[in-house]
Formats: sequence, structure tokens, C-alpha cells
Amino acid sequence: MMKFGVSRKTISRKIIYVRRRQSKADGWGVCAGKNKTPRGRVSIKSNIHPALASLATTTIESEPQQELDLLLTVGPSRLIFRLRPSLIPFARHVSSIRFPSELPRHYTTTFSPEGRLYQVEYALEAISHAGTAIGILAKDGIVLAAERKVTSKLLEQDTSAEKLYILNDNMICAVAGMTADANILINFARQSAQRYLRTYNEDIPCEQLVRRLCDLKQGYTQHGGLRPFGVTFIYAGWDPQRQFQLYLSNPSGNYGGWKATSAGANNASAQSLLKQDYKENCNLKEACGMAVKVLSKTMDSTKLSSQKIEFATVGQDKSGKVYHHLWSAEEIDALLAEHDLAKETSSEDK
Amino acid sequence: MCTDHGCASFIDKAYRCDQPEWAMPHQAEARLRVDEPHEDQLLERPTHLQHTKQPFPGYHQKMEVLLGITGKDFTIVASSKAAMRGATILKAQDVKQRQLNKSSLLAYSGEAGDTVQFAEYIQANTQLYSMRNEADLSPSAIAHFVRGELATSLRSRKPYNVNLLLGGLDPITLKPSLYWLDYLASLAPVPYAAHGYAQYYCLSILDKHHNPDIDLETGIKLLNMCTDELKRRMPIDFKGMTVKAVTKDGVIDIDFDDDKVVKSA
Amino acid sequence: MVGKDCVAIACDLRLGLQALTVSNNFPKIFQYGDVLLGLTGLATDVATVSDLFRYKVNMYRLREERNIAPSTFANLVSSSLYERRFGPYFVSPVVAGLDQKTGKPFICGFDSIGCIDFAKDFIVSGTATEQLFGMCESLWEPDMVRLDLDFRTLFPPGIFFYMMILLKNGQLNHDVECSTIMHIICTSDLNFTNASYQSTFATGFDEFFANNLNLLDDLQCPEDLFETISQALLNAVDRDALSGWGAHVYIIEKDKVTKRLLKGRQD
Repeated sequence: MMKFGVSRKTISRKIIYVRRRQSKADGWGVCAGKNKTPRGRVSIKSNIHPALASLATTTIESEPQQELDLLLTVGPSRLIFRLRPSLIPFARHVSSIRFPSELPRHYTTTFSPEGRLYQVEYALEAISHAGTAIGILAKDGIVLAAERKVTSKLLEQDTSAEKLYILNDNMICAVAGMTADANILINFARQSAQRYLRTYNEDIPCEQLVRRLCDLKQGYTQHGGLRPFGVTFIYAGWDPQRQFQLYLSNPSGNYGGWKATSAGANNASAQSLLKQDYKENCNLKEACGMAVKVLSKTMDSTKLSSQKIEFATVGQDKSGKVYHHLWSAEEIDALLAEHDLAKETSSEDK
Repeated sequence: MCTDHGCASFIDKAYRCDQPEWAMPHQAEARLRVDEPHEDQLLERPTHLQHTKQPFPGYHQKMEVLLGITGKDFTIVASSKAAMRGATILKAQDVKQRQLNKSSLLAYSGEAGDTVQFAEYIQANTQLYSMRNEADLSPSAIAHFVRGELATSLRSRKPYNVNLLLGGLDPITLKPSLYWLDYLASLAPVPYAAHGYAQYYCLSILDKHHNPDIDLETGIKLLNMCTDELKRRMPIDFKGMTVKAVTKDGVIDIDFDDDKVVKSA
Repeated sequence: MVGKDCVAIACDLRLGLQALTVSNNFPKIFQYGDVLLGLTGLATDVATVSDLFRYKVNMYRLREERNIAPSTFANLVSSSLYERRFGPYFVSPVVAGLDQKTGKPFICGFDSIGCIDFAKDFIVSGTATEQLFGMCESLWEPDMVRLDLDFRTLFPPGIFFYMMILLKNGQLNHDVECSTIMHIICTSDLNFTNASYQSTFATGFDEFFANNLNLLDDLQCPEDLFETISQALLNAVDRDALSGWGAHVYIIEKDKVTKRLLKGRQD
């Protein structure tokens, strides 16, 4: 038995909320008029337009559609809303329909009976197919490395980085997941950082920037109807309070500080490799070596090339000034050659 | 009907009065529009009483004394104790200073209502920042934040009419600093500063005697030279000075002899 | 101010309340990548506007992954100021930079609502405008080059003497202080080997430059620009009660920006 309540929240917002009250299966429901005495337990709240308010609601078993004033069909992800033509002039307050809550588990923001948020877990799953990204914290800097998936020879090899981005003067990040989603978040992060700089004339502390982004990500796990961002970030940054810092954040809006961490495909094995190899107090150069070694083991092909990976470091120059540096193809190849991981073809090319 | 309605609105007003607007949790609504990211979540600015518009500081406002002196490991901030309205002294123990966090201090002068309102607004936001981020804002960051707020206010319908001195010690480098801000939101980092008529008397004394390496004791000596000159030359009694200093141990009160008699020139 | 393959921008350091000096360390030039912006006017708006452009230029750089070009920046300044057409920021900005591709000097000035004033020579703004105009009009020349040579050791005494005469007659481009070192400001094509005084000198200059070609290689264009702009600024502000207290001078060349601090008169 379907039960629906139709109410309009405020005139100014012009929204009718359609709420399914209690039902286990998906189905469809109908609100019908015709001055009949309301049957069933479905009602339309009376503070909507008088013409719509006069609709009575009912529970029906068959589909006498021509008799109906308002037809609602509810499926797992869509709602069909049909109004009797003669009532359309009165229905101009109806501009959109939203589900507030109490919806099937297909919606992002609802806990499943087992207490899980499936969409968030699906997002994590999506990320675990994306290229690997790792970050390692050294005593004098941080290294970020990411696997770039070359999909086609015909694809224009853009010079700009695809998985590593500069957030502001003292922070960069690596992306694992959907690049399109990441672009939105990165733009948000850059704006946040610049807004902080304008307000306080100081660069934003790393953790605060991470938290701003995570607040945004979290919002998409709680507020209705939207998909969470399918992106995990690894952040590398420096601030005067806590010096070099490495963070990881995922679609749920959780974040944490790490000494070495990874995201994306083969994340688990990368993580255990890092755990094995990580040395406290290693320097940036050692960290770079560790990064390529871990990448070479987690990536599908054992031989790497500058086309397949991206590399970036944050460090301090001799005067103590913090720099960040996205590596050029030549620098990456040189590093790979040093660790004997370069692809034969690429070394022959030279 | 009328009484009922009147009564309701009266209660409503009373509620609003003792519950400042920024204390109400009406910010809970989430903002999810990606193209328009949420503002820095500051406490809302309180709506203040409507004063008659007074675009420039009056003479009595310029008679208020604010002084600041930095040295090698401290910043002294001093303010006069007289609360004035026109030619009348209303109070002789006024403290025109607010401590913002562990290592910064704000002294203010200007229009009566605006000053405390603005200083406490800044104080509340600085403390909110400390709570949220488990780290204090540096004096430089506060100064630029204050400047931003004052600059926004300047272009609003009713600007704050406040002159400020912000003294502090950087929480990380422990470097002392002093910032001079006027009601037009001009900001200048300075080694020593004053506001109002006191500028004309004190800055020249400090020009001659100040250097960046002085210790606290010398700083207070310089302050005494300044206040002596003010007592000697300024035509009003500013009722002595509240003197505080920011050092690595935080903000300390400094005993200052207000009753010292200065021979007139 | 424009030089040969370089530009310079300079400001004084005073912040004052009418006659009272509040600070003598208040720079008015701001660097955004390799473009420089000078702002004069109301101190509060100088700070607001400079912070606003830092925000905008930083976002531009992150988005485009390159520095902003001077002409692009000039248009950004113009449109940002005009946004406030009916409640303007009280500033008159000056922009200086080198075109990233051609290396051509670019300078321009604005009024407070963003009308661009392009210039080939110099732009002045602020309280000492009149004095600056006078100084720049008299000191500035196109493609300035300075030769720091001790002519007495380089030339035989006779030629040195002839040069003095030429200088006196204004045939050589001027601005010479004849003590031991001679500064000659001449046009960059160095056409003082041309016919009119070749006859007088016979072989003098020709021979000299033929033998000292290396001197032409390191002609100090930025140095002379620095000298010219500094003299113009310092001498202008000395005649203005509302400016002075030292100066910052930036020289922008193809691959570097040099910042110099001038002490100036502290009174």
C-alpha cells in the first residue's frame, strides 16, 4: 500500500516536497481528486494552492489514469509527475520536486540498514581503479608521485600535469579518482587559499586548507540528492607552525596526516611496501628513490617512463624558502635511470 | 488585537537585545553551491545602534591618547584612562584595550559606541579562530584581518569610527610587532606609534630616543618621557595611562605612576 | 620609465596624515610575477587594491599555469577599477613590465576608474606629479645607454679635448660630468661616428670603437635607466612636502627583476 504526503514548504521557494512515508518496495502512487472523500491514509496538506488543495488523495489498486488529477510514479532514481491538464494553470507553483530524506538506500545521504553509506563506498571503489598516487614525507621535503594512465596514442600529450596540481605557494596535491571532480575541488581549494591570503596576508596553514576541502566533501555525503566527489587527494605542504606535512583525504570527508601514504589502484600493496621501506628521517632524495620503487612494483608494467608517471617535490632551498616543483620529463627519466627502472625503449630513444 | 500584537513584538525585541545576533545559530544551513563557495565562516557582525553620522573624528576623540612602543623582546601598549564625551570626562578608569589572544593586544580610540563594539568583534573572531584551529593568529595576520574588516566597513552605510594600535609578539618567531591602523583602514607596521593629538607630541620624542634594541625598562622610560610631555603640553587631563606589555610570557600589566606631577614649561 | 630593453618603476616610502608622517617604510610597488604595479592615493585603497590584484593574479597564474602578461594585467586593472565606477578606489595605478614574447617594454598609467594611459616614455602619479613630470621631461631620452669609461686613459689627450668641445657645443648627446669618469648618455645605435664629426676627428671614434668592440657588448642600459629614474624621483620628491623618506626602485630586464633601496633624505 502506497502512502504519500504532498506538501509545499514555502511559497517563495515554490517547491513541493513529495515524501514517501513508509514502504519497503519501490512503486508508484497516485493522488487523485474528484471531490471524493479521502480514502486510505494519504493526504495533501492544505496550505498549497486551493485548487491543488482540493485534491483528495487516495490509494488505488488499478490505474484509472483519466480519473486522476495528479499522478506520481516513484522509481529507484526517478519520479514521474503528471498533472491533469485542467489543473496545470494552478500548478505554476510547482517548479521542482525534491526528496528530503527517508528514501531508498540508492540515495547518497541515507544510511543503509547495516549503517553504511553505499554511495561513499562506491566512490571509494571507483577510486581504487584509478592510477596510483603516493606521497612520502622526508625530513627536508615531501615527494608526490602518481601514475598517469595513457589511454591512447592519439591523445594529445598535454604538457600540464594531469594528476598533480599546485594549490598555492606552499602546497601541492596528487589526485586519485575522477579528474573532472578533482578540478572542481582544486578550484575551490585555490580560491579558499587565496581568500585566506587576502584576509590574513599569510598563506593558509596546510591543515586548514585540507579541512576546508573535507568540509565540502563531507557535505555531499549528508545533503540530499547529490553524488559524492569521487576523488582522493594526497596533499603535500609546508607551513611555519608544523613545517612539512602530508595529508590524505577521501570522498567521505575524512582526512589524516601521514608519513607515507598511497591512493588508487593497488593501494593496499603500495601501502604495505611503504610500511616496509619507510625510514624515519630519510631525506628527500631517498624518498624520491623509494617513491619510484614503490610505483614500479604497483604499476602493471615493471618498466616506467616519464610518460607514465608524474612527479613533484616540496622542499626548502638554501635560503630556507619553500619551493614546490613539478618535475619535467627529463628529470623523471634521469631519476628512473638512476634507479635502473627506465623503460628500454625510452633509453634507446636517447 | 493591538495590545496582543504590540506585546509580541516587544518580547521579540527584548529577546534580540540580550541575545546578540551573532550568538544565534542561524548559520547552520549548509551551502552547497559549488560555483559560489561559502564565505570564511566568521561570526556575523552585530547590528549596532544607529548613531548620528559623524564621518570624521571629533576633537575630543583626538584627545584620547594611544601609545605603542616596541623593543627587542616586547611591545608596550598604553591608553589614556579618561572616557570623554565632548568636554566632559565621564569616567577616569576606562581601559581602552582588549587582549585578543595569548600574544596580542588591541588598543582603541574613536567614537564611543563603535570602539568597544568593534574591538570585541575582533576579539571574538580571534578567539574563535584559536578555538577552531588550535593555533593563535599572529599579530600580522590579525592586523590584516582587522584592516580588511575596517576597509569593508569604511565603504558601508555606517562605517566604524575607530583608531587602533595592535601590539603583539609573533607566536612562532617571538618577534615583537606593532601595527598602526586608523579609521580609514590604513595599516602600517611601525616601531612606535600614537593616535590623536598625542602623535604630535610623542612621535618626535620617540624619533629621537627610540631604537629597536631597547629593553622593557628603557621602553617604560620612553613612555614616561612621552606622558610627561603630554601632561606638560596637552590642554586636558587624560587621567593617566593603562599600560600593558606583550612579552614572551604573555600580556602583563605594568604599574604606571599616574600621579606624577610634571612641572609645566 | 622605459629604457632600452628594460623598464623601471620607483616609489617613495612615506605614509602620512597630511603634514604628519606616520611611517617611513610604506612601499607602494607590488610585484605580481614579473609585472609590477605602483599604487598612489589613499593608503587604505592602496592596500585593498594591491591585495585584490594579488588574489586575481594568483588565481590567473594557477589556472593558466603561466605568469600574467603586462598588457593583460593592465586590462585587468582597468576593468577591475571600472567595476567601481560609482564608488571608486582612490588610487592611480602605474603598471610596468616587459612583454613576455617580444621583450618590449610596457608601461601605462590609470585614473581611479580605470582609464588606461599608454606611454612610450614615462608615467608619473601621486603628490609630486608636477615635479616628476619636470624631472622626467628633462632627464628621459629614448633608448638610454650609459658608458662608464675613463676617457682620459682611453683617448689620447687631443681627442679628449675635442670631445669636450663637442659636448660643449651640444653635438654629442649630453649629461656629462667631467671629472675623472665621464658618463655619456648617447643613443643606442651609437651614431656619433657619423659623418658630421668624423671629418673633425678623422679616425678618432671609429678607431676607438673598432678597437673596443667588447665595450659595446656590455653597454649598461639598465644601469643608466636606474640612474635616470632615481635622480628623477629623488629630486622631485625633495621639492614636495608630502613625499620622500627614501625610495624603492625596481629595474625589470628580460630575465630578472632587480630591487634597490634608496635611502634618500629623511626629513
